[in-house]
Amino acid sequence: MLLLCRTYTFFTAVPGFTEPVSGSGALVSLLFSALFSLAALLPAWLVLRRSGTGILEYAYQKSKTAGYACSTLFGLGALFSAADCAVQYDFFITGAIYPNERNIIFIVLFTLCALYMAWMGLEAVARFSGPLLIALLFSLGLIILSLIREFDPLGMSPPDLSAFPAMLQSAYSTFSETGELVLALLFLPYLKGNVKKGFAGWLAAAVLLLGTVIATAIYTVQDYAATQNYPFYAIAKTALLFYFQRMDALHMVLWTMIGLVKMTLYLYICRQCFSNLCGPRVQRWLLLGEGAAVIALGLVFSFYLELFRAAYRILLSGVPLLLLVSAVPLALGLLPRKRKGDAAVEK
Amino acid sequence: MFDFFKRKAAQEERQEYASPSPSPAEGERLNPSLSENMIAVRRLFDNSADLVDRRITAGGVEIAVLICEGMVNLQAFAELMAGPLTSLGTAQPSLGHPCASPQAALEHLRAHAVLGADQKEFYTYGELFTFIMSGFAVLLIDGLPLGIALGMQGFSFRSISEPSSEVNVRGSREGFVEPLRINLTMIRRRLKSPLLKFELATVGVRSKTDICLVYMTDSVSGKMLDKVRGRLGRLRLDVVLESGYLEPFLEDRPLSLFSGVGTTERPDTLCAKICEGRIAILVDGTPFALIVPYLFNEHFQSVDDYTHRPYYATFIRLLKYTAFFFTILLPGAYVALASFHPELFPNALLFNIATSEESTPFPLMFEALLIHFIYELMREAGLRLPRPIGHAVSIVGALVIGDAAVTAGLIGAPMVMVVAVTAISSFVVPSLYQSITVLRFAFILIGGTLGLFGMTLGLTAVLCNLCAKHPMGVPQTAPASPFSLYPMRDVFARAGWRKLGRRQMRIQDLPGSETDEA
Repeated sequence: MLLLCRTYTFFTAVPGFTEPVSGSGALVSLLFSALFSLAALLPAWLVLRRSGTGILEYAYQKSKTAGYACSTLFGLGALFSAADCAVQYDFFITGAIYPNERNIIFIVLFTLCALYMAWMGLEAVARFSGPLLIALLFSLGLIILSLIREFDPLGMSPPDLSAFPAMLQSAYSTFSETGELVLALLFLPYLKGNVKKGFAGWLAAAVLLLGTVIATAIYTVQDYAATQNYPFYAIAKTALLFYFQRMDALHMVLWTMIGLVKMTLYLYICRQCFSNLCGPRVQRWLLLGEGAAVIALGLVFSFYLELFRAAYRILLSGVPLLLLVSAVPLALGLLPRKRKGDAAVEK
Repeated sequence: MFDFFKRKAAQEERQEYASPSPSPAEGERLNPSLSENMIAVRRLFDNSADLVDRRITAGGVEIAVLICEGMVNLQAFAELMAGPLTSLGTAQPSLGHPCASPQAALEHLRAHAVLGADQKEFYTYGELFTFIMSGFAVLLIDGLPLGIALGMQGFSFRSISEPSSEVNVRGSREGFVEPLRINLTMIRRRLKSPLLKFELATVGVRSKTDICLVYMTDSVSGKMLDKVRGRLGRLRLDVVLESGYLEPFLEDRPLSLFSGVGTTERPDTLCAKICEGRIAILVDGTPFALIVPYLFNEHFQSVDDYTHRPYYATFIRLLKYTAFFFTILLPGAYVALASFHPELFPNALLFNIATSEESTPFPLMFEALLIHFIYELMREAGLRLPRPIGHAVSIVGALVIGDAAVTAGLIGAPMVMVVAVTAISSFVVPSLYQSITVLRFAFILIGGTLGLFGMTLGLTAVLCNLCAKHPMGVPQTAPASPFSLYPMRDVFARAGWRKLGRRQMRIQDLPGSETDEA
């Protein structure tokens, strides 16, 4: 699921085309962004490794106030991410596929579908994600296969080392879009097996998958893709396989499904966080409330583009991500543990 | 607020629908006086025409014989009952014969009616009626507050024949029939193991239908068995006439599009399923047995797969999966692509479609809905009518849809092609026909109004709905998701028997199963 969520961001924009580096430099910046991700999660790992719990439970262990604060912070972050997901999808669909349609239909239906999935439960979404990942890999394989004839060795130039600061900047902006680190922080403690290996595997798979996407773009249709808002969609559009003249439909279908998975995860997280505040009895109503909030937020963002740009700039600064992934665990680590007497009083 | 509505609904349900309960008189115990028993039986039976009662005096003891007309084998009755009753009749109580008392008559009958293997004693009117109506001959002896039931059922029933809904190329031609006992023998003949267990129960307050749980004691999960027993135990139905009545009670999500309960008419299929730890439920009066839990991939399996060469069986499996997705998505996708994304069609194909659609008056979505509606009408009519007329309906349908509608310019030729492919594909997986039909219409509507975007949302919702199902605690999409390599040898591809037979696969061992006892 997390891998799928990661690919969603990259289908919207391929780094190297919108960031200051291009060509092989984009591939290198991808490696750096993975290192940034590791570094950002390091404090959380140091804090949580001994407790054996998730970040929210750890916060509640420290103090009730810290627990409430953490739930609110992560809940709001998830709500914003869900709205961002809906808006990004809306921009893609109204920009590339249905240019004459109104935004409201897409945002409302997309959110409703994600709500239904969240209502079905996390297990159902996880089961749905497995075959979806296989379908994604299969379609990527098809697209790459169909673009083999466009392979241009001129794109294989080594990265320009003088542009190292620009590469770092590109890596940082890629890292700042990695909202899945928040999901990883919340989900990984509950995973069975070796969590460290799992996280490393996720990071490596994401780099490999996205590296393949970027490499395909660089070595086949670089100049053309660089002029497009949605480079990978543009690549799929030009892909010719046998009788089928384009593969954008396949790309669109998979991208929509992946978007739904991502939004469902955020809605689920949001419900879990807010149910910590309101109690588990209102979970169903919470989901409806979240849906209404996401639709409202999504419509506001899609109609007031300046507002969305401002919010997106904050997101790209990396501050919200660093706050949730690094600062909160650090702060919790520094907080004194709740004394037994306090616990009795609270009970 | 939510609780208020729940309480209100429960209150209304209590007011409008009385829960089925047995007649109080049926629980009453039999009387020692034969005359009083007979009066009570006639009163409770309300002088129904099919009750046959004869009173005879044998050995000085008054005995009543009760049978339901047409349900007892009269030849067996004569052979099994005439002997003991005659020998009882010739005995002279005055000579000190043991049959002078009712108790002695009972002992005499017990001892001499040994050929009637199915012999039971009972004490209540309820049991008396159940036995009579199940084809037993019932004896009531004056002076004893009990009755004797002798199994000598002789009603007519359909002979064993090839199952109509699961036709195969190789293998057994036997299908289940309506009487439960015969079905049990068909299973026992195939699994000559003491581990095979039949567990009888009765459901339906009025119908008192016999049902039988069939499982292998070494393979079945105890938790799963308890779950099935519990659900059937809580069943409150007045009448159970078919196994379909029980299905919703065994489902986790009865409103889901896909069922977690399977059906089969074949004893060999049932045997294979129970050997993998599943539980079968046979219902008296229907040849359709239920199987729980039933995974999604099982809809694509058939007996023939295991007799064909593995490569051919694999090819057929893949064909079935393709047919399933074709039949639910093809008409909707065609409408969506042609209405919203014509640029996705190759030029030559687009030109043909455009030429054909130019001459038709209706929008594509309406055309698709209309033609599918007509097709479903024809199918339903052909199914319910007698076979010769059914064929005629099919021919008329083919002419109307295939030729007349296109010639009249009502429907485009590509649409006829799409419907034909869809219809044929839907018959490849007959057990999913109900879901397929509803989904097909839904996808035409979605595709026609929202295009590929709507189709994607719809498909995601359907797949998620499927993934959320947990029939009897086993994920319905297992072993594909959650993935497990070993059981995958019989999902998309069918491995050879050397591999299949290497290790026993039990349903509760699948990943994600809640009934795992490990």
